[in-house]
Amino acid sequence: MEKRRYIYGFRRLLGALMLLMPSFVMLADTTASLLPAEKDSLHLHLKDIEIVENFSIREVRSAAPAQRLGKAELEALNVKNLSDAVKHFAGVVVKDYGGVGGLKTVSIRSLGAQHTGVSYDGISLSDTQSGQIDISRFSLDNVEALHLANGQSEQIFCTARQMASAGLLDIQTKAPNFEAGRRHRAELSLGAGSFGLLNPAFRWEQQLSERYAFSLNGEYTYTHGRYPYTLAYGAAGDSIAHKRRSNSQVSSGRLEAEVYARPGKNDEWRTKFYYYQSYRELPNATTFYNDHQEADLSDRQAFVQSKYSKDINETWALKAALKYQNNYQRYKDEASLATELGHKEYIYRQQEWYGNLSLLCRLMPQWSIALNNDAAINSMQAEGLPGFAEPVRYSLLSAIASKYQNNFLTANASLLGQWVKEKVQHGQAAQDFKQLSPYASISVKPWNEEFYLRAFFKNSFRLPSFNDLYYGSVGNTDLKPEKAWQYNVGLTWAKHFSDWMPSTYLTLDAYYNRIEDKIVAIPTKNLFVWSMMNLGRVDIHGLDAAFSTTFVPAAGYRIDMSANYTFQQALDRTQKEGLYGKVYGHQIAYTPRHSGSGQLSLSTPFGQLSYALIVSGDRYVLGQNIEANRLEGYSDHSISYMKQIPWKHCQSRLKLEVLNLLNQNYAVIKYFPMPGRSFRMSYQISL
Amino acid sequence: MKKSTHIVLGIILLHLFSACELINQGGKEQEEWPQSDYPLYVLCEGLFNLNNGTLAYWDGLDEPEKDWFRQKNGRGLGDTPNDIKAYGNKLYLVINVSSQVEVVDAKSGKSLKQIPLFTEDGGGKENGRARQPRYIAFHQDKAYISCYDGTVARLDTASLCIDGHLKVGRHPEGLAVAKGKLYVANSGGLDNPNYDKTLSVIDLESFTEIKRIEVAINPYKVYADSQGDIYVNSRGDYNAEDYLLQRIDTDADTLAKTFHDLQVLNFTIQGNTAYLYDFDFSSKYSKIFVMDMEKDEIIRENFITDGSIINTPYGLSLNPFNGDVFIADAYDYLQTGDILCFSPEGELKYRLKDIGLNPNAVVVVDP
Repeated sequence: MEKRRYIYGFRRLLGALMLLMPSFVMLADTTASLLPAEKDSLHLHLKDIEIVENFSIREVRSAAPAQRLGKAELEALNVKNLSDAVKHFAGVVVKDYGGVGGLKTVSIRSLGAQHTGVSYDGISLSDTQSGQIDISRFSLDNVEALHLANGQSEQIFCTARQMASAGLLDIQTKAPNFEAGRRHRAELSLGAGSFGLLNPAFRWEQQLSERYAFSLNGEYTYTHGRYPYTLAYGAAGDSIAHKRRSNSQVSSGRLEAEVYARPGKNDEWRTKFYYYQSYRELPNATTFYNDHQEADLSDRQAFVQSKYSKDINETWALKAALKYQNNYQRYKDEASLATELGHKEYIYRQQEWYGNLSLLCRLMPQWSIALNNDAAINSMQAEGLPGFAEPVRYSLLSAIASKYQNNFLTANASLLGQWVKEKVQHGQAAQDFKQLSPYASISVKPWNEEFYLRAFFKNSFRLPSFNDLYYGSVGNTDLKPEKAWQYNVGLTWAKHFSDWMPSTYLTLDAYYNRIEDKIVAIPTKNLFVWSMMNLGRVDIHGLDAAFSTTFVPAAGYRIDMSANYTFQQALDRTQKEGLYGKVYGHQIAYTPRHSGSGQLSLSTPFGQLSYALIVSGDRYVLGQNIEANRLEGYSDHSISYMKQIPWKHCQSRLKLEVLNLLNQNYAVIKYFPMPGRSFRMSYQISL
Repeated sequence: MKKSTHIVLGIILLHLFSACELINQGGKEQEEWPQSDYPLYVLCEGLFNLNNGTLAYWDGLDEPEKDWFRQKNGRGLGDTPNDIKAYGNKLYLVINVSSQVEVVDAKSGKSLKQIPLFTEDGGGKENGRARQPRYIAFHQDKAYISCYDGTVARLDTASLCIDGHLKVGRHPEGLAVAKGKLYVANSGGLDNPNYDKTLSVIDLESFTEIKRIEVAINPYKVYADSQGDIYVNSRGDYNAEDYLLQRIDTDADTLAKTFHDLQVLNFTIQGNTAYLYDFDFSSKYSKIFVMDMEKDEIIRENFITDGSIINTPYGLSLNPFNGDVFIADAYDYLQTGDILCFSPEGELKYRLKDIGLNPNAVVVVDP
């Protein structure tokens, strides 16, 4: 029994280490750890189950497609903003309105951005006003790893909210990491680049005592954003103009403080304070013959979140979290013709109170059950919208999840219940929502080789946002949730060929998704007055393929290569005849049939050279697949060179990047041009 | 376990292959075009922020040239062309969001002049602020253009230069001339729900506003009949029961009559005959009817006599030379719309399918 527990524990240790490392396990590299004291006990037990062979990769082992970009991969991607990194995941479309300040949202497998959950260190971010998270505000400065899960994460011991969406992007921030014998660590960096980009950042980590550590980090970003682009006044051969983007200045700052505590042997407590402020001019779509724009957006977002987790004994574990978030957003347009003063201003405020309590029961070494419960209160107020409803949403989420895992089989199942009630100050409140979301996944390893067959199913939904329900005459309080069904089958394979080709993996997934009761805006009173309706059905067939390999030709040299390809056919299935008949069977807007990305990086003792590529096929700007609506595909290439420069006893690093190397003039969203070729340089020093 | 997984995989792959056959089935064009004995122009608004407004030309015989203006000029019309009128042998196009008036030679389709409508002061930013022109009306050698910035611009049709701006009410829309005076509907529509509810009366001799007539909130289109009376419809807060038609006494410049029993979302007048329609956006119910403006009475309760269905009426135009009536069907505003041509008797003569996105007007020039 004792021996068995030891093996079990050892496997779990490996599993825990997997989490902290790049995709490939190299046991020698164990620097990324939390507090040095008693580090094993914690990371060991707070997992649900993690049985990992000597050679295994989460992407390969996972029963539902899971992708991860760790620190090393992120550095090789030539990206500064989180949104640009997310573009490298398979099956993902990032709606990018261009520039640093443009809105960027993530849609997984054509389901729409509102079906994507985004969590920050395991706690979901929420924007009840729009229902989607604008990821343009996150930089990678403070990010340790990004995880993207289709369906839901393999971790059953999580918050209920993380299980509520059709897919989950989890942002994992850096935790303190002290070298032996040191009690603090500092990092300073300065980035600069084209279009007036300036990006200083700092990070301070301090060990306060054996049981407490503290980190503080912040960054500031400025860019005037006046990048050149070519405006085509028609089709090929028609007039063009060389212009510069205007009204596109951005200045933003972020400050984050975190206290890490380990009050006892088997518990952990993290409390994070987060503050973000930005001022962005809002460049509109480029309008032919009219360059004037004056709108801007100011944001202030603050939250404090506290997470506590405890291993009660070998069988039971507990997690709890509390969060308060406050958002302020002001939209201003001095050139608006809407009011007599020529000045339009809206202020939106949102608050969230959120709590989570999760309980894990390890019934057997291979079988765990978790019960995850969340409660949240979201409220919103608006200035500039007379008679705004001022809604308050009360949500209760409860999920029961089970996970079984042995060397040849992983099986997950969960059932999430959600109860939502809303109250308003003015007008009518939305109906109560009660929904159940089932999920099941399975992964089988038929032979004693790293080859797996996997499948998952999930039925989830997205609630109408406050905008959908209450925004002026657009809102419609009769809306029902929009439903999503996902079915996925796939195979994964990984191999260690030799010491010089240590790891290669391939994943291939085919899926069928369906969206029903899609929430869309349609004109209901006249062309200027659009309202939200539950209308429309989309059928999505798709294929995701990912491949990655590494070569180590000689000591100190390493080549990493990876690529992924996505095929998506997302067809409108609303109405075969009649009013919507002209788009029936057509690919939905802004969804390329073919897309992909590739990365190649070469590490040598003289520095690291990286190349990254994003490719997208043609898309349509509206649902009707006609030539007039076609938006050409694009490719975006970038290269970077990074060198570690030891300076006295400090580590420092210089990075040079050339983005959009071929200077392609393209747009992800029509008439929101992306920057052409640009340069970036950054220097980081660790003290 | 393994076998069943293979079966599932097989089923999904099959599904994928069958799905592939559906690719590229969309976008079928109309194969046979109807015939007509006169050429015409169709203005399509496109969609906001997409710079895809179009002017189509159809000679009545061959396939219509849907993107005629761009083909002739090597550039697109811009964002949201809102009005088109023929005057002399020229077409005047009013481009709302791009804030331009485009003067086009009706024969060749070449732009004679592109006239920008911006303020001098840009509020510290690049370029002046867009005035956002909406509708155009003509009188003698001048054109008058209502602009959303609360002005009417005057254009000299000989020099094609703007020679004056006059302040009126908020967000002016339709405008028409009667008895030497210009009547402009001040909608206040962008400041919903604080609509304007006046009609500016402008003396054209002095180009000054002489009066504002109070009407029902959110006035929209303005037309004159052949007796010199002015008609204006108000759209209220866009509830079908708010749509009203009103008559203005142009001697006293007062509101003479409100037609409470008629729901008029949009209308047009030719001589003494008005074509009007009501449309309920939520129920999709629409009704097109005909009125004799001299007798003040409805002469046809239902204009369409052959049972043709209009999904979403979006524009109403007339051929002044033979009385044909054109109705634009915009579907859901995101799909290309059709133009339906009816005889004066209300029978469908032909349909120009998929002529453009949000067609709103048809113009026929003097043959």
